[in-house]
Amino acid sequence: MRKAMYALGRGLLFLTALLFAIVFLMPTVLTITNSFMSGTEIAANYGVVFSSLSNTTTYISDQVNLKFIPDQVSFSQYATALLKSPDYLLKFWNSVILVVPIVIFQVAVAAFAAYSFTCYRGKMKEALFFFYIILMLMPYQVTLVPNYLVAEWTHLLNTRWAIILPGIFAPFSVFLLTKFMRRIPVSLIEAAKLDGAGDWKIFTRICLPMCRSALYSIVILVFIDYWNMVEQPIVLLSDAEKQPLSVFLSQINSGEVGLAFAVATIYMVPTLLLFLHGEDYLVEGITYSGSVKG
Amino acid sequence: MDTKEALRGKRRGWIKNAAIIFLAIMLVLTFFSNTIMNRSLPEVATQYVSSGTISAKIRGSGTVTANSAYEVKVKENRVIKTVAVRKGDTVEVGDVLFILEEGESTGLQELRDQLDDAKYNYRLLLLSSPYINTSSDSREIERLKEKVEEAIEERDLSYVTDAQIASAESDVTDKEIAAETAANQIEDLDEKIAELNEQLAGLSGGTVNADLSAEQKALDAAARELNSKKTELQTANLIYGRAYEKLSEIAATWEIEYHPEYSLEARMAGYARMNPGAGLDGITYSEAYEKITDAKVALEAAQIAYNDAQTAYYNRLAELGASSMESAQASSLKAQLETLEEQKKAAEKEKKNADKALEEANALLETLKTKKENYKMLDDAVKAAEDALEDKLISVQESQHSTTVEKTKFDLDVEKAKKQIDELQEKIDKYEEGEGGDTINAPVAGTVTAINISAGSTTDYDVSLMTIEENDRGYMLSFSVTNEQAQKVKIGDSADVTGYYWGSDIKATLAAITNDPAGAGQSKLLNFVVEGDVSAGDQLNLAISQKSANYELIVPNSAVRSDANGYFVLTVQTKNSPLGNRYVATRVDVQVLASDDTNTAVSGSLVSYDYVITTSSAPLTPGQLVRLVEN
Repeated sequence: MRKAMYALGRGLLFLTALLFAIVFLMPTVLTITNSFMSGTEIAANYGVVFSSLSNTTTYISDQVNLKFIPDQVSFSQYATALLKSPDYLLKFWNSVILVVPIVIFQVAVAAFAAYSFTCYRGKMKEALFFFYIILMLMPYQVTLVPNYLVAEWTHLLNTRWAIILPGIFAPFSVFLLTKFMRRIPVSLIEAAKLDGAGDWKIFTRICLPMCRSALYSIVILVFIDYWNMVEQPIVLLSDAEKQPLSVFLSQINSGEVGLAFAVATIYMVPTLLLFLHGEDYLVEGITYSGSVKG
Repeated sequence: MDTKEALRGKRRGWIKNAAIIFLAIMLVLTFFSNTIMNRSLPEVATQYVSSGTISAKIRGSGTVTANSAYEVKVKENRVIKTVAVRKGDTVEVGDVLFILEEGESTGLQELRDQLDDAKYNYRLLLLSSPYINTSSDSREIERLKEKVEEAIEERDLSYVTDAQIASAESDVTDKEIAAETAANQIEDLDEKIAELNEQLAGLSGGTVNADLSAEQKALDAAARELNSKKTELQTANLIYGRAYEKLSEIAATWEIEYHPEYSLEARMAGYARMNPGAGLDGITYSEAYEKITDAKVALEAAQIAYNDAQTAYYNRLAELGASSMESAQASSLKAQLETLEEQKKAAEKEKKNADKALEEANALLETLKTKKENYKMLDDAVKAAEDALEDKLISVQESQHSTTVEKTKFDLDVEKAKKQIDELQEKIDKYEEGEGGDTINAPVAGTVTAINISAGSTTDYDVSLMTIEENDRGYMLSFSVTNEQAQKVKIGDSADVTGYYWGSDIKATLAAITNDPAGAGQSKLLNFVVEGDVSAGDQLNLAISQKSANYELIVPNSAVRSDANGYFVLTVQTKNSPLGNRYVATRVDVQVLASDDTNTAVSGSLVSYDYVITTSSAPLTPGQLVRLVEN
């Protein structure tokens, strides 16, 4: 009886999980399948959603028609995005130009900062770390206005540095890496010191290899975070030609719905590849598992 | 564990490669993005806005007409049989325009009837004169009246129309042709008959002996001889066979104990040589062999004799065949000859009939001509009788010396009736003057521009049947322009002829500016004198230059476009982008001030040296990205 109840419970749990999985996956699947629809079909299916934006256009269907299977598979949206309009490619490279330096330098800064918070002793250390935590807890919108003011003051407004510099010094990765580095046994570092290793050797030969999974996690999380940023470019980059592709995806209009599906599908490829590459480390890093070996 | 790590490593490697490929593709696409996009953009040619002079041209088209037009009219009522020309045809003087039905003008006939009625009424009026009261006068008048009637009757009997004479003449011509044809036919037949007679004479006249019996007999004898020789050969073969068999039996064991190596043939030959007397039924083997050889020779000789006999037979047969063919040909020729003789007889008969008919037709024509000549004389006699009657009536009337009102009234009536007769006579004379033959010919040379009557219709007296424009009197062309345009040209200006490929060296000069009847005061007619290689009815396009003027903004004609909102030009606006310059077609509304063949003067928000789009490789809409043409 108990066994049957347990099986039933497991079954219900599985169904609930499946339901959630379907709900969460549906937008992604919809994006990918709809990117293969022609502009006419997209307009017929979703045109009414955008009818408020354009008063002159009349749409065939007066309700949204969520469809997963195209009437006729068409690559026209991809052809438009990749071949006919250099703007989208330019915006893609804008995203890359903004995100890659942020990820590299943020990880570097976080690594150094985390080592400092872990290995050095001082009165200000804890206070400074607490300040980092406070900063991390603040919503991004709170710091957006000071960011804007500082950028204007430093004449960096409407330049990529206005995005890259705050990104490099973001507190989240410092916090995560510090927490991870503190789990490295002190005895290990002391043993290295006894063996005559300096700080640079300890940092590069002990700390960084042991934090590899955490570094991977940080790379993936930071990449996803900044690859999808919308508010910062809108506020800090007034020049549309410098804005990343994520901004375009947030500003689609009725004529570009099909194009947005195709661009979104292309846009999710780098994230997906990065995630698949570091999937194991991401889980490991987040769960703090396997911190010390042997 | 190691395997799991290896799998992970492999997967990471695969994903790394995928990422590299993805980024490489994106890079390549970015590199070529401008090129690919430019390929899909419409290519445009541009020209800058300039200032200068515009010499506008007035254009118009019209039909060339001749300066002088001749109306073809007839003074008779005749039925049109055929219209011999078509509109646009060029005719020379004397060319046939219409062929008329045979017969007299119906109008003339009617007039003659009217004249007869008028004369009759006139005589009645005179007879009803209140002054005729003596019986002697009455008798005299009656006698004169009868004389008039007799004269009229006699004259009417001789009345012959021109058409009747023409018909009789035509009949005579037909009969002459028929007689001539018959004579020619007879001549032809004579020639053919002579030819056939010659052919007949050429054929071998001797009869061929149809007897084949001698050859047949020889052939039969040869055949019999051949058969007997065949039988003899068969008998000899049989004897020889039996002798051979016997010999082979005997010789099989001959001297076998001494010469076992000898073959059967050798033994047989040896035995025969050693025993020349041995044989079968008294015939030795060699005799049998000789016999068979002789029989073969005899058979060959018989065969040769038979072949010769057969050849002789066939030769004879061929001779006979040729002879029979010739006789068949001769009989066929004879039959043809007979037919021709019959035909000749028929033709001779026909000729006789034709000659007779010709004589009759000639006689009829002569009679008609005589009647026509007599008619005039008889008509004069009628007139003389009528005059006599009239004189008598008038003399009786005047002898009364009465001055009553009734007399005056009677005189007026007589005068009126006389006047009517005179008028009718005058009309008839006019008709008779206009009376022509059976065709209406062109009085002038020119081009037929209008035909007002069709075949089967009747002509009206003095009404235009056809218009002929006389080519040697020059040509005119006119078209309508606005009053403003008319003010910008002057008489004597020459115009260019455009789009006319059929003639060369055409000169058009403005001769007059007149009011346009269809223009309600808003337009004028420009009248040009056209000289050169044109003809009436040609459609010409003319362009005459206006006075020129200076303008600030001049663009090529091809740059000016129009839609429901009016005229506009598309200018090229340059936009800088990280991937290079982009060119956008931008609409600028303009007003057209003047234009010539190549340029248009405009006003609008344009500045000098703006680039305007003149041509494009695809239809353009304002705001569209374009590609500049590569020089």
